[in-house]
Amino acid sequence: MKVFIERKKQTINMQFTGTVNDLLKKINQNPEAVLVAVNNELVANDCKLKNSDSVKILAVVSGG
Amino acid sequence: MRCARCIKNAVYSDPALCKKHFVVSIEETVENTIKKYELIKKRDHIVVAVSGGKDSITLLYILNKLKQKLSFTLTALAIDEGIVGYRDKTLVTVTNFCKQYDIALQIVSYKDSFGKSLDQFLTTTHKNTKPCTLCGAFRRTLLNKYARIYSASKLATGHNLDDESQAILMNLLRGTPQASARLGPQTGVIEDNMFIPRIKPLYFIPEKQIAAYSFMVGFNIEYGECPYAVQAYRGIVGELLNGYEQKHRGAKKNMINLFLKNKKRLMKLSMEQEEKVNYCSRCKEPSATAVCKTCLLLENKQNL
Repeated sequence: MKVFIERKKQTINMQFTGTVNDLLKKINQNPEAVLVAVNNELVANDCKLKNSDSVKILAVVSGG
Repeated sequence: MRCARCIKNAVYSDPALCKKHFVVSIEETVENTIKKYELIKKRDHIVVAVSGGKDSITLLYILNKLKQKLSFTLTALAIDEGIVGYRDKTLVTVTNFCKQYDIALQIVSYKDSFGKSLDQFLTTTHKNTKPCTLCGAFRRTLLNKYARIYSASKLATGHNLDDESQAILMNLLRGTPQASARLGPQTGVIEDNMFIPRIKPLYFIPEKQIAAYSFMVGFNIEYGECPYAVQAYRGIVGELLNGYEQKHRGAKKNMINLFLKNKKRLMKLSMEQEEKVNYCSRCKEPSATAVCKTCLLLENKQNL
């Protein structure tokens, strides 16, 4: 699975099966502060992920 | 997880809604806030403060959708602080957005108004001033002044539930709870012709939901952050509240509701201290003090 973390501008390649919530815990991201898009569509936190998914962790920040 | 309103899969967890119903629920919340707090009346001219970030673009988009239904007009007002690599990009977003939706746009810069851009102030005369202190004061002054010049009856800003809960906590931690009297869906304790009332139609919407809305509607927004924001106290308080919200759902909303219940008391406390609006002896703009914060900062007399 390819996981892009927007705030760190970092891409991680990892083997993972589980839900979005599980993934956020594993990579230490607060669900309150991020949105998760799978294959460019937003998904709910209980969405099950596959190893073939492309996941984006989008930062929820105010522009100012 | 299923959508609470139909049989489709939810794309958002709290509330559990599909894309279509999530978008509708955000727009309903904005309209209900406007009606409940009488933020906009018929024939109002609303000047919308727009930075090009997700909050202000969402606000402008929804108000533009509502303007015929609620019978008001609007103008977008952008402040160009002069932050190279950041504001220049967001102003392109604002300009393109306003062109696409045929919205009148005015851009006012620090350089034209105060002689220098924010970057220039911070690298020359104001090296020891906190960026957000300088920028916040300048921006407030220009928004009020130009909202008045463009005949606004209200100035709308994109403040959301996170911004407001952060401000309440910051005022508490600073020991100035009465400063929160200036918060709320409609602000301004004292009426004055020189001071344009401010409204916050996104008041009850969490920041995360606004980000999700702007993603779903498909605004072409760079989800960036002001380079000076890392130095801001607000960011620390925001992270603290997000950590708390993760463990105790609804904490931010509870804070807002508690504040709204007690707002009248805070306003009374605040009005005892500020019975009328003063005018700055230098620039003649409304001010709580004899010389406004913007003029003090420009003269480098405020040691902050």
